[in-house]
Amino acid sequence: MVIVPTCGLASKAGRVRRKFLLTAATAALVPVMALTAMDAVADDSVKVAVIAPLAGAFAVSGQDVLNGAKLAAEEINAAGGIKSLGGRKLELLVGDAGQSPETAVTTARRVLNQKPVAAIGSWYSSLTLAATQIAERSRIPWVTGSVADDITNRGFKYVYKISAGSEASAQGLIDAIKLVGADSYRLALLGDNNAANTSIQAFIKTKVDPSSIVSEQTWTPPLSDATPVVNGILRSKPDIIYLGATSTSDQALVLKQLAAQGNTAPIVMGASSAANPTFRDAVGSQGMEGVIVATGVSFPGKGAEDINQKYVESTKQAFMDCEALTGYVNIYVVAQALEQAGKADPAAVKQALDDMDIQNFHVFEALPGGARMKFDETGLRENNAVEILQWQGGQPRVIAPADVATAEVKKKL
Amino acid sequence: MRAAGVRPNFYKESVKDMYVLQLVLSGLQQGGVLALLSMGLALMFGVLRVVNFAQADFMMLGMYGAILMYAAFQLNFAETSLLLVIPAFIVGWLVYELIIRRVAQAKLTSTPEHAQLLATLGLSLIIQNTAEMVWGATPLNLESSQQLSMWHIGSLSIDQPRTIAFGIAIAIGIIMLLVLRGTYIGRAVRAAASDQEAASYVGVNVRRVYGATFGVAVAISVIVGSVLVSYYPATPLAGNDFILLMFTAVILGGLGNVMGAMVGGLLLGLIQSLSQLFIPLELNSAVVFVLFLVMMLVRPSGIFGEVNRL
Amino acid sequence: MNTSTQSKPIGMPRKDSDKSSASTRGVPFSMSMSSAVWQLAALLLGGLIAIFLAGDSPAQITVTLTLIYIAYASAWNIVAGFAGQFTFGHSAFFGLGAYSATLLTQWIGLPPMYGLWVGVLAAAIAATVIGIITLRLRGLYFGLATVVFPTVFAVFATYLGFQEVSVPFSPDGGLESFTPGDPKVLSFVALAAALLVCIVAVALLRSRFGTALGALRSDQDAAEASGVNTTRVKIYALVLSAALSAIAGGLYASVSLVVTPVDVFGLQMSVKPVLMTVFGGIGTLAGPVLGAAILVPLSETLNATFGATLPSLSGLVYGAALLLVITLFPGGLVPFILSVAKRVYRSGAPSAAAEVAAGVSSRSDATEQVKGGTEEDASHWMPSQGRDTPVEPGAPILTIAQIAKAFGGTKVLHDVTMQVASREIVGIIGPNGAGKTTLFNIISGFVKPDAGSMQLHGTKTNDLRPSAIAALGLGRTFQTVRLFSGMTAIENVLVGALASCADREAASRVAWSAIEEVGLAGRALRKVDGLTTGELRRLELARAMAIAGQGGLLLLDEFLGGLTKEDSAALLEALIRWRKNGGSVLAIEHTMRAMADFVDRFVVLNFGKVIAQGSPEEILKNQDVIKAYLGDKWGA
Repeated sequence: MVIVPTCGLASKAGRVRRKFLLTAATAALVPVMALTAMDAVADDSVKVAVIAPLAGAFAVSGQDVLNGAKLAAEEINAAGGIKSLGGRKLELLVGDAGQSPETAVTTARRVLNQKPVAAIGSWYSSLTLAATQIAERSRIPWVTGSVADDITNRGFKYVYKISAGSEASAQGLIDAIKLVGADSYRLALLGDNNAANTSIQAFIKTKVDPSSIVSEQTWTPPLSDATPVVNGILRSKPDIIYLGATSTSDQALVLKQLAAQGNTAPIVMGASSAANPTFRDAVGSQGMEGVIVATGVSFPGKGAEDINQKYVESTKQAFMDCEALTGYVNIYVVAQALEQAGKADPAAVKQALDDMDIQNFHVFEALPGGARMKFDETGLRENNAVEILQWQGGQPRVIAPADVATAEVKKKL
Repeated sequence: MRAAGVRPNFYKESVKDMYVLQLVLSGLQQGGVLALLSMGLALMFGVLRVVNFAQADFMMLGMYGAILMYAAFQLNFAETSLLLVIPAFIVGWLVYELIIRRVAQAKLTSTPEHAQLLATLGLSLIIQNTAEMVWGATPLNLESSQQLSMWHIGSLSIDQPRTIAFGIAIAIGIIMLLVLRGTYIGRAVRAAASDQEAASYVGVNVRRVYGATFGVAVAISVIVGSVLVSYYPATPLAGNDFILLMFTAVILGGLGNVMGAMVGGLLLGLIQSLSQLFIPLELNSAVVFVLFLVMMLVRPSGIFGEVNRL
Repeated sequence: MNTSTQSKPIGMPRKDSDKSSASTRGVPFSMSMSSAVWQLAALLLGGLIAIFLAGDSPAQITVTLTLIYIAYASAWNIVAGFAGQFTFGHSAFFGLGAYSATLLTQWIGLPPMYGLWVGVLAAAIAATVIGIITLRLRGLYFGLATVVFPTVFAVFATYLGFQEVSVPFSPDGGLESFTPGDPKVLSFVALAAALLVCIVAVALLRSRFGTALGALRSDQDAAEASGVNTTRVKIYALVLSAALSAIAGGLYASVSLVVTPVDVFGLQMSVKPVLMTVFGGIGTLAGPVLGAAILVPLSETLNATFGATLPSLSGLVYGAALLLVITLFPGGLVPFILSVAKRVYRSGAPSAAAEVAAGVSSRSDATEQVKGGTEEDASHWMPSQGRDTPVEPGAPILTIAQIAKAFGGTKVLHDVTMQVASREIVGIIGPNGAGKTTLFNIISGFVKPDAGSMQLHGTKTNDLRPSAIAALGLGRTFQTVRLFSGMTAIENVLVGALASCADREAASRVAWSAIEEVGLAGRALRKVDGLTTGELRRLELARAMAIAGQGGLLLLDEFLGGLTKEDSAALLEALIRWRKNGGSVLAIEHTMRAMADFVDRFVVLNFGKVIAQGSPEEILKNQDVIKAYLGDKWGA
């Protein structure tokens, strides 16, 4: 019995060839599909990217950054645009940085592909650290109000930071703690594992007597249940509680839990989002009374009343917060750089930022440190300073530094 | 210097300051919710041998449902639950008919359950991402009250919404167990779970039993969601926080064993909470998963033993 | 290759280089060389085209990602598709690759191209540990257990402070930094990785390890009984798959630019290769490639176009794709396409050939002429399994002494003592529940006895695993036929032959001899799914013979069930030839009638005890036996 060999080769080769073509065709589709995703940009405005968390756990803060940026852009355009470019208007390219570094990277890639001359954002340090990777590789200058020291000590050349760093923030917190407490105190540290917060907490531990830290809790945001965290903290009976969470819902949750479990220790918060109007609803003016915030991101204080006014009018929020001020100031920084550069070109803007040394510009007076806008060689603004705020009467007031202060500290109520 | 940590006189100290009791309470509260979710999962596995990856996502839909009902009609969670039960049941039945039944025969690998598992995985992805498109990723809360409502007994703080959720979860769980043991429907379900063919011989409409079981399991999830949202923020990915814990609870109790899942859920809540005494908060979930692994190796049939013993 | 109608005995030592006219036919690989080469070439060409078309545009990132996922999915396919072990925790290895490459760059400035290999090592070690821990779990439990590991890694990574590790930017770095100015370079590296994984997969499929994988995937116990050390095979497959996944992970870090536990150790990252492979066609070479090549660009493009307004569109696409595939064509895209192509391009080839599923199987390596049945020829036979010293007739091959076994509280076997000698056919009979199959399971190593000892060919077998016992020269069949579906008949026998043959050639000879012995040579190249019940039983017998080798012992569990008279007669003749060539048989049957004519001796079991042993005539007259079968009333 003999089996005739199948016409194996003929049809087999045909099948294989077909598969071959299919594979090659599919592979070729790849770039075609991706290319169609790019839109051609060709109109007369100067594009500036704003990449901030607009959805997710940090949306409240990111939205305010955008609000501030929009206000600034509108003002600049209303005043005649960028004069050195013949009055060209600013256009904001908005991107949602999401709530994780991956989404920040993806968004940054997508938005920076459209070739803006500069970018600002992303408020949450982890997101900024991620997104600026793209900026540096794309050679587009990026101005940020995020706090983490790593932002400017990676040796990047295209990143500029207007706020104080983590170490300075930690020192500011120690000062704030001294403002409300005695000289020796039992300190409890809690916070999320955001890049800024972890480095601040690390610095705090180097600056205080280790025996004064009685409890430490860290979580990955977003937090859904504050009970274990608060349980752990309260049982160590702290004199002062440092809360370093960054997401407003995390902060509100912890504050409420602390109140509900009968906490009487003063609370010091380390993230600028703690000065957000949303707390008036979430926790209540009464609940926030006396809470201290120490942050490297500036809050509108003395000299910024008119900016605050304009913001409140246009957004109907109770007051302008740090995030909004950051967005507002950063757009002006970019605008000033454009004016100096005289060209709508990222390289020229970068150069202008490197060379920038502006004094007596009204907007920059809102920042502590003498209203001077100058960046050092790592991209850090010189004369930056940590502000200490305290919630009084339903809104944060600047206690320190003196050049922007609007109120005095109210000690233990 | 950390205050937590293993201390030799831990027992004395803990009794003194009620900390452990507080942890036990928190653990039970969270465990109760987990228990009910896991019971739904166990039911599905026990009866249909389906591993439903989308179970926690139905819970998430329940959360959003409650928020919508509150925003539109000011309904509280009890009313919302009642309202959503029927639609959830129907949705569950439909999912069974349209998806699970279709893939029941698909032989993907030498393990027959894989095809259904993958189908529910696909479903889970679809539900999560659609939810994100519709409602966005920003967490939503049911009502933003400025103060947490708590009862205080001595130095214990007992959170009200959590306790209520716990009570409801346990109540529904017990009802479910009673139905399974005591009623005709319950016996039909157990028969179909035990031996599909034999059950059909004695007059049980197996297909309908399967559909109904799926419907019930989904309805349970939705109810849990609507109750949970009173203290847990709703996000499209909320299910992911629970799904692994649910599987662990089910395996702990015995895959397919509904009562085992209830006990497993409570146990897991307790373990998660009490582990805080020994290890930092961040390593909390690792404890659960290591336990899961140990369980799989030492006694994969769970504390109470596997399937066919609903 | 021709075969002769005459063959001389092959003789005993298995390593003999007897190039006589005995069967020199090969057994076709499940993946032919030409098919493999074509597919690899297609991947190479497709990749190059994509890279050059994308050029320096932003689309290049998509190309890189696609190639990375091709590598990752193909790696997963090795352990899940080829070995049949469905894991849902592959991100454990992927993440180790990503973290290793990045952390080493940060700490000691080691460029990712080198740091990546440390990740490979770490992943291999992790896979060994994970494999050992989880190996005793099967199916669903195994899958669920694997989910735990990446989760635990993620928790520890966060705890140790690695929750966001940035990939350092070295603009002046060369190729090894993976961040050169030209984005095409990373794509080339990714293409190389993808090709590497596919080449490894091909090599695997064309090795004896690949045959073992196929057996494992199909039926783990039957594989074990056929001499495959399933534990070792599982772990090897997992380790290989893990190491390759780590390469993909290391490359991924250079694309994502920031490594976070949630991303690289997350459930999503574990699910992606599953999705892509299942979508493309699990167990095939082209499946994961096609799956990734379609899904990744699709989702990235959707993200790029609609990402601003609908950020979760890509996730939706993945979910929908998975659901669609599972409900409509669960085998995946590749088999579906091939079946459509087959219908369209009906080539007149016999349907057996057209059953080529998913491009995995081929027959162009098959030889043309196959010799027919050799019922008369008793002299050609197979190499023995390493038993170089001839055994005298009558010497005991299998010795069982005082075997006892209890399950739970029930004692199933009491003090069973018996032996099987060389050139002897022994029948074990007894009423239902007497413990016959349990005894078989103990002899073949699937169940450990509570007491007693066993010896096979002079070696104590109490503590040996089934595959080791099989390699000593014991081939068994099962009550319900357990063959490896998806493989051809001859491949099934080949699995058994590989139990102790040094190489595929020798094993092929053995396999062909065995399959001729049972008269199935004509159907050798058919897939077992197309055989009749009778043919299946004969095939299982051939496999058992191949495992046992000349002079070996066959354990046959009710092998006459479901056979026609002709088939039975043919098989019994084959057994008689087996005995003549030095082998022995221990067979379970229900009734004496079937076996009375050809067994040398009966052993009667009742309630786990041996109640009688002896020749058929003696047994027929034995009072205890009669009582056991018919009840006390019938005793004298």
